[in-house]
Amino acid sequence: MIRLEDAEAKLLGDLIETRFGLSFQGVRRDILQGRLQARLQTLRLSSFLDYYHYLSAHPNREAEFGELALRLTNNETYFFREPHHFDLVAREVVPALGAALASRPLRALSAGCSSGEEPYSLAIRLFEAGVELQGVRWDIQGCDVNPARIAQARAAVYDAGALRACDPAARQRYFTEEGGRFRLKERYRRGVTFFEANLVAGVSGLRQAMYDVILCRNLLIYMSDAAFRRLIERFAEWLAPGGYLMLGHSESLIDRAPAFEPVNLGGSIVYRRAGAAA
Amino acid sequence: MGDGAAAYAARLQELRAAAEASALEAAIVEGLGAGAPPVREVAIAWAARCLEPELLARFVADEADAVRRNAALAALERQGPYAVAHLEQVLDAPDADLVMFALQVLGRIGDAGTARRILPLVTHPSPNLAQAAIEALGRLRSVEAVPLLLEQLQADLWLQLAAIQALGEIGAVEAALPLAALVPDSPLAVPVLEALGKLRDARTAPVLAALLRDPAHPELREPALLALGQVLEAADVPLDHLAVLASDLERDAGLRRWLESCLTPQARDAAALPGQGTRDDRGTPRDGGALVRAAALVVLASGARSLLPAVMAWGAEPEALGWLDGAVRRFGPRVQSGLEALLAHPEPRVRAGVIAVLPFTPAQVPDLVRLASAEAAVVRRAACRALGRLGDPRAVPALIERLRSGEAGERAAAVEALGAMPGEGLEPLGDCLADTEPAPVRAAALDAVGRTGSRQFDLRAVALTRDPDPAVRVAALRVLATQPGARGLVFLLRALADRSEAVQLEALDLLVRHGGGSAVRMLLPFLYTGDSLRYHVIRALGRLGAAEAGPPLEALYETAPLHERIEILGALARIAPPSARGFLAARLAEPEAEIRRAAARGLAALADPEDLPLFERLGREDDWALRHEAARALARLDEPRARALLLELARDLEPVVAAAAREALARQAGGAS
Repeated sequence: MIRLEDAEAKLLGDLIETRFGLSFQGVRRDILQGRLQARLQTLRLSSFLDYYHYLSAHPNREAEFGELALRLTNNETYFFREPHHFDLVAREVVPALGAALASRPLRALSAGCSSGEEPYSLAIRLFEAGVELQGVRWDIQGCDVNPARIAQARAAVYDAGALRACDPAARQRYFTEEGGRFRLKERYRRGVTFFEANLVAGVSGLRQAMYDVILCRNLLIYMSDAAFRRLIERFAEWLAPGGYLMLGHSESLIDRAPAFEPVNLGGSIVYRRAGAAA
Repeated sequence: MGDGAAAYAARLQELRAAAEASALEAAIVEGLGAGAPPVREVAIAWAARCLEPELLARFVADEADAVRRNAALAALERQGPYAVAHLEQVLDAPDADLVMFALQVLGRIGDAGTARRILPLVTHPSPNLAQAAIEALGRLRSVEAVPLLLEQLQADLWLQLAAIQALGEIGAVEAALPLAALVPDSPLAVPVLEALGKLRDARTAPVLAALLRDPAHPELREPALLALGQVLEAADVPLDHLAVLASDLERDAGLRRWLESCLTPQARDAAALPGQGTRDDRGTPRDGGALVRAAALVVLASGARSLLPAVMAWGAEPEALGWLDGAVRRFGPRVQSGLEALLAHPEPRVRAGVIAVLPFTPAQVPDLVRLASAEAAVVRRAACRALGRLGDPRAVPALIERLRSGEAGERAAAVEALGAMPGEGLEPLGDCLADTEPAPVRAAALDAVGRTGSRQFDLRAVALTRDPDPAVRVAALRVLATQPGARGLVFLLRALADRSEAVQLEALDLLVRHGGGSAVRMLLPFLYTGDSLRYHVIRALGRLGAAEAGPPLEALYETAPLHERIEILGALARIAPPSARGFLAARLAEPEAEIRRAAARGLAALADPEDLPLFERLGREDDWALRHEAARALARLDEPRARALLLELARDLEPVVAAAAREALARQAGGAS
């Protein structure tokens, strides 16, 4: 086991925080040390300082940041995790937008979507709620820093673990079994797209006020304070006035983001972008 | 400009600086009371750096502002040694609260020299203050406080609690029996048990064992088990201390079930396993495997046969390997016959655990060979390892069979075992090196050969250096690298031009390990190539530490790209040619931050008293990494002249720098004493 020394943890931690916004201070330092051991061995590096130098100056550093992202991101996700938010979008947000959705699709972003379970769960919920029958279309975008996860999301083929919250009937309804794995049926994939993005570093192509809903659940808890603030500012920019930001159950914006106000929507606390709805 | 004008400008500058300093101080003071934790955290760092302990102590005394008081305490703690003298003075203050806070901070700073100033406060009439004094002495691990702390075991409950914890932290063996006398009836029984665990005194084993089987106190079972585990791990406990427990374990099904539950996968999952890095609510690492190990030790030490299967099932887990083996050896006579009977246990994991820990004899090789083809892979793996421990060539065919057809874990165990066989028995392994065998088998067989150091397959290994599979080529190089003389080196040199980077890097590693002086001569020409291997060659030359590599590395520096220049500086620090310090010092003027950092790191590694002014300058740089290297260098120099700067760095805004400076100061203090 190669030990992560204090100064190395600071060097590497600062680099990771700047690049990905992720914080590995305190107890999470052990996670950093554990997750990178094998990588150091592969690169034949004998210390975390060597790895820091590799990331700072080696010609392969950009590719290595990709490898680093693979190891640092928490890919814990599954279909219908914290499902109340999907219900809220179908039952509260879509009706509230009413006529506006006659001329444009509902626009949602799943920030830090990993392998796509979250955006697909939202699409399934909208489909099941009959939103399409009311003439409403949707444009759900998922983004993640990890290119391998985005590729997996686009392929939409999952192991049984991703379906742990689906009963047998739901499995059969939404998926086709292929050699022990599960492929999401085509009709639930419509209107869902993915792109690779490091939200902290900035994303080109996203316009101001373009989303009605942003789902960013269980991501902010891993962020440094600075990255947290930066990300919330970006969400405020990308959300339409009156749009909703939905966070994980252990995350809160109360007293931390003046651009958002906490509101009780259908019994759940979500955060509304200040300003009148369009 | 005349003298008058210069003086005028200097006075203006002084005024500006004073104004800026006073504005900074005001901002820090305000920040210490800020409601937002991130602001407060920054203010604490600045306060530790810029405010004097006297001022911080005034904020501590101000009970009207609890937020600022706590922030000031944190700042004092961060000041560490810089604040000690003032905090010691505060111990004489009339304000009991202030004294109490000073005690807390002194305890956390951890300067053992302060203990003698704290001792008289143990008997202070204010219980809060006395408690804080006891806690501080515990943190300082003050041995001289032990007699006074023992007296506090008769004091009121809060003082008792503090004394119990302090005696545990100090590791005061003389406290073991007085503490043991407090269980089970004291309301403080759990802290007492925690302290007894830390003391690890064999004399307390009977008391702890009695608690495990005391039906009147089920809530004390787990802490007692943990404490007994710690005692058994560290001390030789006579068998008769555990005799009653052993018979109770055989008789009492409830007790047996409970102890067994401590060894189940659920219990192990609930408690994190060693090395997983979990921490308790105080932020200290928690060894979650302690409960499992304690239960296993109690079973082995008491010789409770009916619980041996549960222990052995755990023994099959990778995390138990090594540890359980040692424990069984220690308590061998108590459990030997019971373990042998378990070789016929129906549960494969139990059999595997037994095979992993039993000391077998050569007469048992046929039995182990049979077990190496058992139905369960976990048993086969364990049998391979046991055969390896015996090193008996009769096992070779069975091990080769596992190498060929076993799953990955079996193959690894077979390779390890074959590697422990005498070379003359390995002839049958030659068949596994044939081209007709799958590549993983060829590579594994070579791996086994390499471990034995046998030379009988060298010709075949030479042929396999041209194998299409890189893993086979790597394994062949490992075999050839240990050849005596320069022959092996020739293959390694050739492999540096291999089409696979993995093979190149393995060859480079092997050259460093086995090449000696020849390796340096072989590697130097690679400094004049421009390919990606050069980066690794520079690192390798550094590892070799050969003086002749110094001048060419310095010559390459000017034209090398950034990542190689960083490595050159690291290599020069390792090689330490006479020119290195001057070369590195010149790099401190370069524009790239990483170059300056690497140079400072090298200079710290080569620190010389002559460079003291240079480190004093580095200690005042804006870049924390440079200040950190200065602190490391000063620690290495152990120079009394550097104390002032170290005291300053001990209050650095960056905790890593402050910690390095404190370590250096502690080292100086240790040297002085």
